[in-house]
Amino acid sequence: MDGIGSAWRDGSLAQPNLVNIRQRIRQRFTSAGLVESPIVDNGPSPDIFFQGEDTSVRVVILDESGWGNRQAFLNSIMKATALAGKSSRTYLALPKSAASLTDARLFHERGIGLFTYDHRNVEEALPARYFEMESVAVPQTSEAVDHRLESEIRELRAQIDTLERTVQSLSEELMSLKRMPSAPEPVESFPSTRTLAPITAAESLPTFFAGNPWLEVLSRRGREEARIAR
Amino acid sequence: MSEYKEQYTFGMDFGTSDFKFGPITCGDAPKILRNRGYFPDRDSIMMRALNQAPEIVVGDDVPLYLQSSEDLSSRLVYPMRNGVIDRGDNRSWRVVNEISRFGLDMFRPKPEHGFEGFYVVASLSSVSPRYMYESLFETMTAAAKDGLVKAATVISQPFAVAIGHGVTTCVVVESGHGNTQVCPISSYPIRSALVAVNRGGGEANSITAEILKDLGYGDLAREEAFVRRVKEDLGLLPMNLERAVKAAKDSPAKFRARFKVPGTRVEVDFAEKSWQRFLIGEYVFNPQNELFQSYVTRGMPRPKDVKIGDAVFEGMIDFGEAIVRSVERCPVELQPLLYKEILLSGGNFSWQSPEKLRDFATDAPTKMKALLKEKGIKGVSVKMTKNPQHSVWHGCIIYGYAVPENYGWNWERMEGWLPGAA
Repeated sequence: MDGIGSAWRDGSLAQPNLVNIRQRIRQRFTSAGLVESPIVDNGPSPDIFFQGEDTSVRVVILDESGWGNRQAFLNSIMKATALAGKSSRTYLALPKSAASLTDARLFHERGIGLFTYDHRNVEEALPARYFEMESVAVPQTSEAVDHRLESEIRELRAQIDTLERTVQSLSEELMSLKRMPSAPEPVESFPSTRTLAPITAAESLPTFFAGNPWLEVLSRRGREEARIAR
Repeated sequence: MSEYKEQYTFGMDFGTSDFKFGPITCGDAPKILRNRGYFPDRDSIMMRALNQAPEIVVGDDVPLYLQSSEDLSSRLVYPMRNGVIDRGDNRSWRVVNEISRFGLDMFRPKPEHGFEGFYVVASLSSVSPRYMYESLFETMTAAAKDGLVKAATVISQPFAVAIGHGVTTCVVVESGHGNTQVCPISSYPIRSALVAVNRGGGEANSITAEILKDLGYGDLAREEAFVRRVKEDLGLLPMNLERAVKAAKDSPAKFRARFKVPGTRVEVDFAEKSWQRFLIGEYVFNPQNELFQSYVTRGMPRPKDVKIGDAVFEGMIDFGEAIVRSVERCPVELQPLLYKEILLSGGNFSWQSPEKLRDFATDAPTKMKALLKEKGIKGVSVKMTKNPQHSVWHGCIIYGYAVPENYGWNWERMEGWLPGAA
């Protein structure tokens, strides 16, 4: 044997990789018919933006390295909050280990969806609320626009205040957990019926998977027939 | 897609010559073994003395057990030589069973890793009759009892090629040693439009052997491996046979070809008969030319129409005609889309086109376009698969990974998972 099999029999779990996470998020939305569009409003950013016929999706990614960095964490949450309602759906992608410490209700109230990720998977833990976007610009008087903007800014400030308080309390909680003598095991977001041992899974899927349209076609097998039957 | 299948999806491609297999974690290339098994003479004195001869040997150990060359034809079994195994061919089925278990065992994970068996996707010729599927499922069920298989399925090789190549609407032409299959795909294989041709690499070997006999190498022409080397090294595929033959007869020095077997004194020189190099490729694509008649008259068997399993394999139909017949069995609306993506797969389409002979010798896609043009089909796109050797295995892995676990096997659509322990 040429050692092909041994690599995944032993070894340890790989760390989540930002490129990989972006790739999986991209795969998810492009397979739904959306097209990735460049983000022009800020400099180097791990965020991704997708557009479809009548819809747009923004995903703010909190890198695993940023989880220990309060500034980066705050920044990601505030960005997601500020962006909620600017696209049809807004998501925040968090490491799975961080998700267990996050109160999803706060995000739910603001219509922000949550993705959780680990080294293998990116999962939609909380769906984002769909905000109807205006496809046709309605002529407005400058006074009306100003008034609307002012009220939006007021609303955003209030949201940011709430979030800052939430993040502050989360951050304190995190620090206290870190100070504990032995760190608890990461909490699984979803109950598992079977424990997979720490096998080294493929770092990523083989290269011939990239962009293969059959992944989407075949994953619908069975569902199509059920729909036709109905 | 489940995490489990990210580790435990397993592909098996039963090719005519090679068995390509392995789990998804192999990456881009599977493990490859010769698709054959050897039945040692267990009564021989040596085997009795050693007291260790197994009933059947597969894998890399086969050469260690080979006995006299006279015995090879009866003891060395290539089960998929013609793409189809007879129902009662017990020895071939033994080899399939043994080689499948050998492949699965090679990648059996340690028990503590949560392993519950592989999701196995095996690929067979598109003309395989139902009993071949049933026999393969029996093998998988037996392996499931040993914890190696969680669920299994079988897909056709052209379907796997289309998946591996990443095109959802196309015509796949898969040409192996014994036959060629033309199968249109439109999200599903269109079985009613399948056309099978009883001609493959074996026919190119036959005409090469006849040419070698005419050149005075009759003794060497009996060795299949040697004939195959000559075919691969010297055989050419003409763009237009008459034109290529005339040019080669007019200036034989330009087309002269010699082949020396490395490590031996054996050398084959086509000399002034080098025009015959073009017959080798042409015979595979279109055996109807009258130039072949003299070989048939002298005893070379003509490819016949045969019924294997449920399928009729036509012998003399040219590849262009085979594609047209297949496509014309599909809805009219679909036909232009199918002609726009014709995929050629299999070693039988690997024809060299030397730079200095480019005006006369061509590659398989160009030849196929020319054959279709003769039938009035223009604007077609013919391509070789990206990775001819591995594309079927790639398709098996993608299929196994993507198809939901709860999509059960159905004999009408010939797709879905059969639970391993069923």
